[in-house]
Amino acid sequence: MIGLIKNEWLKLLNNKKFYWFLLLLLIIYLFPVLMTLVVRMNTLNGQVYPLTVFGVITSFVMPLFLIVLIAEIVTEDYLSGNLSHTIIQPVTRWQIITAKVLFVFLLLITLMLFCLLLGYGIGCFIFGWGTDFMLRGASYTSLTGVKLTIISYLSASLPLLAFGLFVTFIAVIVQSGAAAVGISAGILFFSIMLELLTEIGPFLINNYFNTLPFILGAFVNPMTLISSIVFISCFGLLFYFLTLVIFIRKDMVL
Amino acid sequence: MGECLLEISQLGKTFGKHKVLHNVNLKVAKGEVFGFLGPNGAGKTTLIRVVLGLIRPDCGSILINGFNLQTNFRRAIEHVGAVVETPKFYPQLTAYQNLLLVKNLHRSLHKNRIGEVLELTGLIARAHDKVGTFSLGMKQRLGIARALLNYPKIIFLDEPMNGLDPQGIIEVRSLIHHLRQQGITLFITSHLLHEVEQVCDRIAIIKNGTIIAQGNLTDLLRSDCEVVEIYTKDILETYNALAGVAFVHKCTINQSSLLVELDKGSTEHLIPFLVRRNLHLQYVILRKYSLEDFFMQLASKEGNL
Repeated sequence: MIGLIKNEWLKLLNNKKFYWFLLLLLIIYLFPVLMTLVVRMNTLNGQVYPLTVFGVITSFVMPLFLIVLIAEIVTEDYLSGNLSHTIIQPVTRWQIITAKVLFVFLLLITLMLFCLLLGYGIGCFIFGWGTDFMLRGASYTSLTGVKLTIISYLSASLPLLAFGLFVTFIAVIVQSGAAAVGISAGILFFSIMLELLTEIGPFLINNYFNTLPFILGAFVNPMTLISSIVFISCFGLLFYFLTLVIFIRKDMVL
Repeated sequence: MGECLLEISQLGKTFGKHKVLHNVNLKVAKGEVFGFLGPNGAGKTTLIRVVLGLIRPDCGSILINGFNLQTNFRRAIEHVGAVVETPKFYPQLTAYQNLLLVKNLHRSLHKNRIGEVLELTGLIARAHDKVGTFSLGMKQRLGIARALLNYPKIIFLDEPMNGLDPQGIIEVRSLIHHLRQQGITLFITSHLLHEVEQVCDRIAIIKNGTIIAQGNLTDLLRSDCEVVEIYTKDILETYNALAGVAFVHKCTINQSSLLVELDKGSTEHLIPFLVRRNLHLQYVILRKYSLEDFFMQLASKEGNL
């Protein structure tokens, strides 16, 4: 299993697309700086800067990155014939899928930490650390602010992983990388629209990408956080097992 | 047949309504080079994919090195190497990194083994070049290097000569001979009958998913008659002279020669016979009964292969 995860890292670190994505993240993190300069507002500081960009990163950038990444490591790997070569090694099929899932989880945590450092780095460099941690009209101590920021960034890996498992399921059943990206992105945008227009938000996984409201809500009612974790876990496990069943039975004709 | 390394029994596979493999039984002995022949779409690659666990069979069993592939996959596949169709690699990775991906899946393997197999296949100088820059012949050799990485007891080579230039074919052929000398069992599918004849000990021929011939190559190519090609200026006279001769089965006129099929061992009587009739012989060539002849004979018996 460790060998399979190491292989995924080796492939990723030799893929130019990954470095373009890191550059894209840098540009996104610089965007609020430009906006602040344009509107000449100076309410931001280094403490709150990471959470200013957090919503965009977890709701749009990371889900889209996950779709492209999983289409590549599952569907494209199968279509190129490389997955067949992994299967004929002394590893089982469930290990292959589980290793890909664990790799996605480790990558998500790494990327969220990278984003966190990027947020703090750019925020502090441009605006300085500042004196207050003001969030949604409330003031917190700097220490609470740092804790809230770190927990929000790291906890976002869980709903994103659950979404990643859904994308893996799509990637296993379709026969083209473009179809995997198209279907997954289509479902993501449809879910975002549904979340905005209807009351079924709690039953949509994208509702949980931005974990900050749930963490803040836990201060008032911890049950909200627990029910969210249960929903996310059930969603992820359902698609993990469906993926396993299909992948184990799949004939590798390429 | 010696110790059996691969044993396939009553294997069957259907895709939709199409029966791709039907009651396939095969045995491959340790150390032998086994040729698996058949026309396009006969089921060769499907059989290899089933044997490697890529496709699930509907029925039958596969034993590799004594382990059942369906119930003990990891042990069965542990010492198997394979190059299925054109070997696939990650073009953005180097040759070394592509082999490292396989090494990482075998706990007992040491990194030095990668250098050893690259040396063996003549790719050590290109170890750190990206595979995207490799020619087809080099990819084929890298595929063999990858198949050799886990000290395999048996290697499956699916069309190893496909698309190679003459130099590439010679290189792969000599590599096969080298592996054979090391006692590695080889299972080769190929369209190139001449190549199979040069390297294989035993063969099986598959048609429409069914094995129609199987056996030792020398036994299969043993024939009751022999064929000679006679070059002479007196073609018609020679043809007439041979008509009605007891040991001659068949005589046909080619463009500039005669093709004569006669009793095995009768060639030594044929030449004095023609010389006694003052027929001017330029030269006589004994034609070996080749795998191609066997294949074509089978084709005529079985309908179009």
